[in-house]
Amino acid sequence: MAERVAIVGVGQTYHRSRRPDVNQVELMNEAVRAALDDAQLTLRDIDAVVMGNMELFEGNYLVDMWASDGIGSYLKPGMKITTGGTTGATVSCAAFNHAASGLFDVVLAVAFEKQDEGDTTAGLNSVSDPLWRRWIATGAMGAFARVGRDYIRRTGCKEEHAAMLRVKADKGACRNPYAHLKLNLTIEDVMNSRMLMWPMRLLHMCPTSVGAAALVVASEKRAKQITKKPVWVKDWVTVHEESATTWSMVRPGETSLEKASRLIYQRNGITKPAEEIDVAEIYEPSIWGELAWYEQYHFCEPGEGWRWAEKGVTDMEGEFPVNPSGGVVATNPIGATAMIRIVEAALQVRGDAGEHQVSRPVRTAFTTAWGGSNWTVATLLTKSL
Amino acid sequence: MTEKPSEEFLVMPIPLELPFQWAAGPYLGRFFRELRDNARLLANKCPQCGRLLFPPRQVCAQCHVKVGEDWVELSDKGVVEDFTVVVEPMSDPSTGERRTLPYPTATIRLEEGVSLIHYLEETDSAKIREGLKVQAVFKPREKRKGEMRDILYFRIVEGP
Amino acid sequence: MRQEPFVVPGKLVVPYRYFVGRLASKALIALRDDKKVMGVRCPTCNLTYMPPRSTCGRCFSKLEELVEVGDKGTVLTYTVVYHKEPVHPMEPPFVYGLIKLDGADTALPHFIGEVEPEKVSIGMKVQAVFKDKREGNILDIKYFKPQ
Ligand SMILES: [Zn+2]
Ligand SMILES: [Zn+2]
Repeated sequence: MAERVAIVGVGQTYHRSRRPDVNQVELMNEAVRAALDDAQLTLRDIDAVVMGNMELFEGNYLVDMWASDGIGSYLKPGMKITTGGTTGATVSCAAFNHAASGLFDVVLAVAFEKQDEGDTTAGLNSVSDPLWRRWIATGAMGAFARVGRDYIRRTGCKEEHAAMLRVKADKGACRNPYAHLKLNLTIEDVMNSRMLMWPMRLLHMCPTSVGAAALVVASEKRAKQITKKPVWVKDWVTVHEESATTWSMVRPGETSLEKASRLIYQRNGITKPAEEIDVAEIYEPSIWGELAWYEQYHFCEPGEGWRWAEKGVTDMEGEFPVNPSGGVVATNPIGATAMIRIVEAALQVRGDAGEHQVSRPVRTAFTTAWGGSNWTVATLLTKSL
Repeated sequence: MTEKPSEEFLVMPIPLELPFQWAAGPYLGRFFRELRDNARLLANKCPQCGRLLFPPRQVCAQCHVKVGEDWVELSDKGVVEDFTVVVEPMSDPSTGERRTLPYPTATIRLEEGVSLIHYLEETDSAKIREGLKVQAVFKPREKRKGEMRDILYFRIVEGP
Repeated sequence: MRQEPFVVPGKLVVPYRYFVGRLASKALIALRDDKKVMGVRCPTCNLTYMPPRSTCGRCFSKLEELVEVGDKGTVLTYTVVYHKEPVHPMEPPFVYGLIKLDGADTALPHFIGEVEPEKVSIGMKVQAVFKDKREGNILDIKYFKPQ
């Protein structure tokens, strides 16, 4: 039986499009110090350090070799993990596993991306199979243009609905001190933004952000000593799909998004997720992902997502708030992004999200991360054990 | 944020260019060889679930069984399942060069039910829609190298 | 029938740039503008790091105190490169050394020049030779030569 674990400290940087004032290690250091401060711990209390990023966005393929000073792993156990868009969540899961194993009491997890140092789309295209797909890969834009196109065709959703969710995200971001894009958007702004690949407009897509996030994770016994407000990591799951030759997320059949969320609900006795979960922080690199994925997370019936957008169900004050932080579409330091979902969900559970704290009481939060077309990480955070 | 605009922050340009030798392996290798030599598209068939694997590969991920040598020749005709037109400049990590814009890409479902992403000959997006019947146009034999670009593009042969 | 493996030559080409950050910028600007070689001191551990870094790995202090470590030092170890490789920065034979500058507690990897490779030795005293046209990186030191 695994130990129960809790998040006892969270930290993140103020996300920006450029940070010429810090190098990669210094960026991570900001998040690490913030998380340690939040936990009121020092590095002496940390038993292991896990880190990660999408190394091909910086072109620095062994960043852990450079980073031990700044992340505090000097002479401590730990590892580096890279799993694409899910990196931040996988790093978090590794920290949960470290603490749950009973081998380490307090584990630090840190993830970052410094996208001002590379060419993200070129980097992302280079993850495609070099012989089969790389020559025609179009990064995340092409993938999510397909998601949007498929969703419109299948459900009768209109472009306005994507704009509604984008404005919702912006409202959250404007209240979130750490968010990157804060634009005070109107529906018209979104509808008039530059077309990238139909139906994908510039404002439908996440920005290229620079940022880092960190978590301090502790075993049950230590968590209760460290804080009065531990956020319990009730469950976490990673699901892989078949290697994709075309983007399977626009195809029928169970996707990793559906499987991961179904698994975690089943294991925790959740039958009506939108009623039993109080807030969700999902990974939506494009607003089309958010629209199309509500149903894949079993929040709503197939094709109902755009009606939810109309009704404001997922607004900060709605019945089922999704991404009150502003989400990925406002802030995407890729390697850190999936960890920011967990950081933000933990703040919601603690009631410490400040201006973007949702109005309904939060006992249970759900987070997701998604990478490539092939895998999903989901976590369930709770206020009490 | 303490960043002062007057302060000088140094940045080092680090261009990366690494050479590789990618082994296609026996299954994808056979596919590329057949494409190069005979302008034919091949898939192999899972002995357990019977589905076609395209690109051909060694293991059916759903059944966890070795797929083997049950090869099926695919038609060069299919249907446009969905498409998009790329208008955003992006650099190709295989060359470091910017791709020429705009160009349409489409998911094409071949007659046997498997799909691939490729270019369309038609570049006027007003003339492209789902359901169009298309056919592969191959480069001439002497230009084919055993790569996906041995197919020049797919040509519209018939409206839906 | 066995066939030759199907192998495709390719390459990966992506442009990158590294920001060195505030502290290292200050140090490298001093090198570029004033030929000053700077390290950073941890007052807690009483150690001076060269190259400078902004966190002490030993005590996790924030490091801000840049100190001049001087352009003279000692060869801690070295190796001579005899074979030619496209990635090498110069024609072989040439010498890589780990040099502890007099004011630093850590070693800086750099080239050793103006000396026959056979004459280089551990413990040898060396001195930085600066480039005339300096750009704000560690290669503004061309190499270290015997004192
Ligand atoms: Zn099968
Ligand atoms: Zn120290």
